[in-house]
Amino acid sequence: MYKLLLIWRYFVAKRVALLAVAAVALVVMLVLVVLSVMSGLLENTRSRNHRWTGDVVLSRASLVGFPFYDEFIAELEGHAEVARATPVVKTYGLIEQRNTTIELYGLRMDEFCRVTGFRETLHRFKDRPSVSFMLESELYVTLSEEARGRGCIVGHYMLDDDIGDSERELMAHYPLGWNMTVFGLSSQGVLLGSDMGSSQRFWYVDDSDSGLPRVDGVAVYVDFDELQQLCFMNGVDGEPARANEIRVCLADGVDAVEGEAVVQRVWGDFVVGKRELGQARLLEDVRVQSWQEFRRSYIAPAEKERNLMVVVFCMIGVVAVFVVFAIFYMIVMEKVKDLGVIKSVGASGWSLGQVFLGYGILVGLVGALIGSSFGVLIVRNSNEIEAVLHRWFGFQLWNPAVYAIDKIPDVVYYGQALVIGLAAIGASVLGAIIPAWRAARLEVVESLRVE
Amino acid sequence: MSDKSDIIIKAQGIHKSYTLDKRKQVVLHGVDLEVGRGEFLAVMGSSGSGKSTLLHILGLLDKPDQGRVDFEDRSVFDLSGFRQDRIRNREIGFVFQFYHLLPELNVLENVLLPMMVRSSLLSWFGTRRQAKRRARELVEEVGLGSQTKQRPATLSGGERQRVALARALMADPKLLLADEPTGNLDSASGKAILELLGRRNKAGQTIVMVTHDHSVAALAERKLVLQDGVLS
Repeated sequence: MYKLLLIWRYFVAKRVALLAVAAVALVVMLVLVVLSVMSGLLENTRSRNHRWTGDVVLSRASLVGFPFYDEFIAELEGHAEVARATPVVKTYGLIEQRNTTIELYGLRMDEFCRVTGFRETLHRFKDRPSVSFMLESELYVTLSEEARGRGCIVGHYMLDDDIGDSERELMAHYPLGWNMTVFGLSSQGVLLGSDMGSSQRFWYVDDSDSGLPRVDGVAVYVDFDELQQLCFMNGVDGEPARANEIRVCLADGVDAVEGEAVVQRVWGDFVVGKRELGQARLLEDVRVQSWQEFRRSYIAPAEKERNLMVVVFCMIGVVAVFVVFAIFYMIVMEKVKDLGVIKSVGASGWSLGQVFLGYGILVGLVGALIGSSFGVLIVRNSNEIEAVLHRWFGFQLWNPAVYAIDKIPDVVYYGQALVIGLAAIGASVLGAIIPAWRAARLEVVESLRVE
Repeated sequence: MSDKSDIIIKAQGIHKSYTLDKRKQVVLHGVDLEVGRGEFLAVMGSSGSGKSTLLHILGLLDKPDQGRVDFEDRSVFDLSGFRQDRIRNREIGFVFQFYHLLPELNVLENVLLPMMVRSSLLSWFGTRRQAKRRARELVEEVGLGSQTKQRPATLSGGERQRVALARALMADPKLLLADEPTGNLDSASGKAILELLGRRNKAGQTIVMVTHDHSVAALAERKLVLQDGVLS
């Protein structure tokens, strides 16, 4: 019983113990904030990449692409593990009046929206029953029928100004269109068409905010057939038409690894079946990847950053353990005589050691509670805090272009918070072990002689 | 002292030495001692003669280099550490020259300390009322009934020693060991402590007290002198 009383009295009477609490609280708060932000960043990055990509992707590194995509999709969709799939033409191009390279994606819009979560990223079409590249607006009545099929969806960050939801707001930006230039390649990888590339004007129909600034700053989505034609991939050279990617959506409840294996197997069989055909070589180096592998270069930095942060803050945790150790050791040295007195009335060395271990638990617990509370408060209000700092001091703490998502993650992972809190308590106990051991081993007579 | 059952503690051939500045100093050189139940024994000797060391050995706070101590016919240094702790907690009370109260605890809590050390959290809730009642009685007995909530720092030396005495008596020990209990007090406070000890002894409490003061030792019914490491 005396142990609880002493633990509490030492805790409230010793101001130096508050320093240990403060050290633990600060470390817990820092770790919680950083880990929550980094985990949120990683989780957001992963989920947004998943939404934009689909479940499984078939692609080639070469812009030449690969043929027989529709045939393969028909075969693939015959498997219960696969819900649907769609081809994508991808190329790089130039856009007028800008110095940046753009990424052009040719999509079969309805299919693409059903395979990926692309529709959710759209500004104007998000809640409409169908999405199309057709220019339906009366704004474009002056255009020819053919030109009215050349709508495009641009990445959100490619627009100079936000365009509102209404037709009137769109009218304010009329005419909104860009000349885009791409270079066509034959199945042999030879440049086709003019040396100046193939240009086409596309008109704004919507913009996409995928939450991935690196995508939204360079991506332009146009009709599959339009881009395929522009890149000479539509079989104009007498060869079968080509696509660069096939995006696959797995059926509900299908395990990602299992689904990927099915696609891999079907593709393998498909390639074997096409071995005798002329363009079979273009199929050989097509990779079947899960969305994580496909977007690895975008997700891996966030994972590495988070892991690095965990290591850095573990090192800071070591400092906190040392602070607790130093403070507890000081207290033990100061309390040597009292500990001798307690032993003289029959307390065992082990029970005195327990006083300091209990003290460590209390310091860790209080520090963890305080640190977690402030940590949760900061994480949940991180965007508001960032806005205030921006308003007061003018600097932007969170640059969306750098961090791949457009706002600071403000979700607290309570499981992580619990682990951090328990680790803090464990660290405090660790810091108390040597002082507790010292207290347990005190010789009564020696300690009573201490002046 | 011939009747074995009347002897509460018996020390035989106690040797104890310390090493100070790499020189061995012999403090006790074959001390033999028997203390009868209900006896008030004073051990006298000059400063540094080893009185406190002997008392510490009798109180199981220190171990002899050689020799044996029997407490109620049990060879205490052959017992486990747990058993020794138990004897210190339940059967021996100690009063120190410098009181040694815990500054974080108030008067009542300091007195309750042996009972709290003895109790687990659960057993404490079963016994605390009785323990507190006894602690209050003892605090009343030593004349500090109105100061139960005060911290030791707010008490005078005499008051602190009275609290220390109450703490030593809390477990109703069979043997009370007092190490220069008045050595750090003014004469009035010292007198009050001695009166308390005398009263307790008359009630049957066995007391072994070490002192260098003849007037203090006069209270005891038997006096021994420790000189050159042996009792005479």
